[in-house]
Amino acid sequence: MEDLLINQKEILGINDFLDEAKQFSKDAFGSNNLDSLYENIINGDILKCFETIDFKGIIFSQISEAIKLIVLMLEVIIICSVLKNILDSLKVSNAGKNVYFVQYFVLVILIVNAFVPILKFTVEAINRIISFMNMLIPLLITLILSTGNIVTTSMMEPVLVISMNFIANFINSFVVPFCLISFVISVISNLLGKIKLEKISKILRNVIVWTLGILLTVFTALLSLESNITSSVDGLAGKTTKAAVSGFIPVVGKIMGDSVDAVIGSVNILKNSVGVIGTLIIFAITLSPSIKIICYWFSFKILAALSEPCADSAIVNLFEVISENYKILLGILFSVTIMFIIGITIVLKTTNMSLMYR
Amino acid sequence: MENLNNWCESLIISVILVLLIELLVENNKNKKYIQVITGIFIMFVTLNPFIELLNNNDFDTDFLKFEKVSAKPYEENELFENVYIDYTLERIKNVLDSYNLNVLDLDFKLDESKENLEKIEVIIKKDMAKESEDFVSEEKVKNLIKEELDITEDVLVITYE
Repeated sequence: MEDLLINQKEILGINDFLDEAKQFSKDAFGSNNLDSLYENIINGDILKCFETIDFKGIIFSQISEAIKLIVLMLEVIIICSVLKNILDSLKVSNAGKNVYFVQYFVLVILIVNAFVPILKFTVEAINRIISFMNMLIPLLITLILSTGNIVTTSMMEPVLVISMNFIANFINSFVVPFCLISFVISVISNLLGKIKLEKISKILRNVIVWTLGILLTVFTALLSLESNITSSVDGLAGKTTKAAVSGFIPVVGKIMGDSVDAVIGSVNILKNSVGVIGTLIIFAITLSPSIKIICYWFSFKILAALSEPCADSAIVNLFEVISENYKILLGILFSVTIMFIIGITIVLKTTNMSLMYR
Repeated sequence: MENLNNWCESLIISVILVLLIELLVENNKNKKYIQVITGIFIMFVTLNPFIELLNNNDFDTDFLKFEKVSAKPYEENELFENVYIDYTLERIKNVLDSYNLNVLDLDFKLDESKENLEKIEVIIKKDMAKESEDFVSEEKVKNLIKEELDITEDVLVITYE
């Protein structure tokens, strides 16, 4: 059984896939060879691979970066608000207002320096997920075909491929500009107390969230509906072929049927493990960006709370709006990740169910 | 998409301008009136695209066009090369078919910088019967291929097998 597994692994191109997939998982899994991960999954311990991810290191580094930013901004706020209060109470020629604007602009420079690299990082992570899926899906489809699920592939592959390309186009041409525009407008709208432009950025954020939600729902619904139909068709087809082969061919029929069963069973194990590795690698790709975004989101909320006693109300509002923009980024990243993980899982479950008929 | 970007840019620039103007007009007698005018200015900048939409009777769907971005698969140069070789082979075969010549294979060689063509080798099946009407000279074959592919003669090499 071990020899069979190793032999099939080479023939089906899984070795090449693992070599190529290493470049995606370098950050999270370290320099660990994916082969050992693969062996673990075939044997059934998945928890071992979570030990290799350096959770603490990633979390600590991101938190320290965010804390540095908070401390810097707090310094600016405290100095400037104290100065402004003194100047206002002295009633000297509106110098307080100028101090307020200088403070605002310095804060805006710090905020933009923090936001733009994170946006680029998120988009890059999403593009890496999509190119990884481009690599994973042909292999998965080959494995599914080798287990005899023909109807499943013909119905599910177009959905997966089309949704992948659509997500790539959609995010790069719609979501990124909307995110940037909403961020810039929310920065500007708190500049003057009288001119309020908040609702524009609110609309843009809602549009992004709604369209991503609709995409996710449609994708999942389509795949689950198809999985109900195709699994039973494939299972029945497989069972009838096996019965026909063992019944009609005189001498070697039964032996042939059983050996085909063994081969298909082992290919099934390989397919499941390849699918699980795909899921783990997608999770590893999104781990570090999402922790970064969560840290910055919380840090801006804390900043809003801490600076409320001393700073102007417009500045507190600014911080709250910026933290909502970070929330949108997190939402984009998570929805894409969950969409692909669910896609792979549903495909795996369907093909497993069709083998239950034997 | 471009319309949205332009609109946002003009909106932001107008807000900053209004801010500068308000900073300049402190404690002036006419401060209130200047504020009215700047408010109207920002309102016009905000509503500009919608006024244009109302004036145009036919909507142009430019705002729906966006650049296509595809996540490239991780290796596609080899695919392009194979497709290109197949395509040129088809063209040469079409040209030489009318002379009853059987083209077997095509070989491209690029020089070291991978930019210029060094040699194209066309392998043609040798005619068994060399009758005078069927026999096509090498010169003629070279001319035909040269015309079809638009290349110079020195990169072309014809071998008979």
